[in-house]
Amino acid sequence: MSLLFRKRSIARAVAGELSHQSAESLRGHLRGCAPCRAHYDELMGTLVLLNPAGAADREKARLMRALDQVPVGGRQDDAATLGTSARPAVPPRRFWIPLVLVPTGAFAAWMFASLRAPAPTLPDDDIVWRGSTGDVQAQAQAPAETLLVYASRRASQGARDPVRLAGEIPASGECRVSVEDYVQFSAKGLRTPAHVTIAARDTSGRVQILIPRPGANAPLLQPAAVPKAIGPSLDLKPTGLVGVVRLYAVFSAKELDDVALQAAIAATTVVDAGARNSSVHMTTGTLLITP
Amino acid sequence: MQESVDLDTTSRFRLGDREAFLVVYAAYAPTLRMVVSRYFPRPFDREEAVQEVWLLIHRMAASFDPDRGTLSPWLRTVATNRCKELLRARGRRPDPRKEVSESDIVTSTTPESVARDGRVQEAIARFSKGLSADEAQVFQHSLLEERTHDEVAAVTGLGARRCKYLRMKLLLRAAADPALRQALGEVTES
Repeated sequence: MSLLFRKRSIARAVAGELSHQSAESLRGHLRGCAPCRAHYDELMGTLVLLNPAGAADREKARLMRALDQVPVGGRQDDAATLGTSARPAVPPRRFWIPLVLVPTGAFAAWMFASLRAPAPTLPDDDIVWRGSTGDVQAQAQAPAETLLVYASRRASQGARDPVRLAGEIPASGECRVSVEDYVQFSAKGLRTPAHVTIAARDTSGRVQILIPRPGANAPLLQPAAVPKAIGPSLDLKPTGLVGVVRLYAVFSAKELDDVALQAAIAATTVVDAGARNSSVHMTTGTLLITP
Repeated sequence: MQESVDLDTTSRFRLGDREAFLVVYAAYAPTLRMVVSRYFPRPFDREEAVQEVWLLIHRMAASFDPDRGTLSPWLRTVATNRCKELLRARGRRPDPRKEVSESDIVTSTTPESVARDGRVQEAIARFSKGLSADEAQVFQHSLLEERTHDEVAAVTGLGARRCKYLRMKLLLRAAADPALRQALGEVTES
């Protein structure tokens, strides 16, 4: 790029048509610019080839100009004042070049990209652009309600160990607890107020309602930004549940009776992580209860 | 090598006398140019180094001791050391094969150089044949003989501006001429 701007100056310098100041300024640039120096070498080499004696004359004239700058009787040990330096001179910085070229280049790249790049397309249903119609629909269809399972191990003398998060259903898919644990269920992601019923089905197919406790009403949860506890903690030991248990959290606008609850659970297969119809939402996952 | 500068000039050279310096320069410039060319074959680097060497000689003239030897080896030593310093300053290691012996300098015409000069002249003649009459005249007087634009204009009958334009044009054309480029390559590599 630099050579493009200086080709003519270099040719004029070789031809001896530049002023002394301009020629020295150009030499300062040539010391630090290999492409320009190569062009200079090419032209000057040709000129020397055509007339070798001319090179000696130019060399002498330049030396005499440099010596003229030395004070009379003095031998200044400063080559820089004589127009030469062992170190390559730093070429003058051209601040306007990046100011012009960078935005121009960026604009050109943007134009090129917008012209050449094909419009993004959805390769298949697995990829959905965030905020697109498909994304909104997917979010509407996704099981928003999440059941959080906390557990706390029973310690000696009725005390409890610190509470830990055992899992998040359906995200975790599986929660591991012990029969010695107290379990606390919480829910988050509710969009509308809902009664929550939590049931468990063991490997024999027996369904046991964990929340609400017998004789109590299903707790009503309001939509909230933070998880809300579903009833009091549950001591797993009296439930007799051990091993792999299927856990169901049923969110309904109205309280469900046993028949409706059994129907809802029966209609849900194991692989359905989140079943949803107009009035009943269900979140399900595996609870592994170790003896 | 025979000493070509008398003692009086040498004494004045040591004292920084400009006239004596010019006498020394006239006597030893070709020799030192040859020394520098061994280290810096490219024109720009060579010009810079030659300038540096002579400025250094000018500064160090007082350190020359005629009782310890003649001027010629002292000048060549200064030139050689300065060239090596310049190479080191550019991060390049001086090539030990570039050491210049006395024979390298004295025998300036070798069979190889004669043949090379012949090829250069041949390339120049061939280039000249392809030029128009005006161009050929300007080429001869301006580029080969290095006359001023006014002198060339007076000889050729062309305007000085036209001569200046043609000189630049011919220089660029010559630089792009394959035969001349090949000859230039030989000279640069030698």
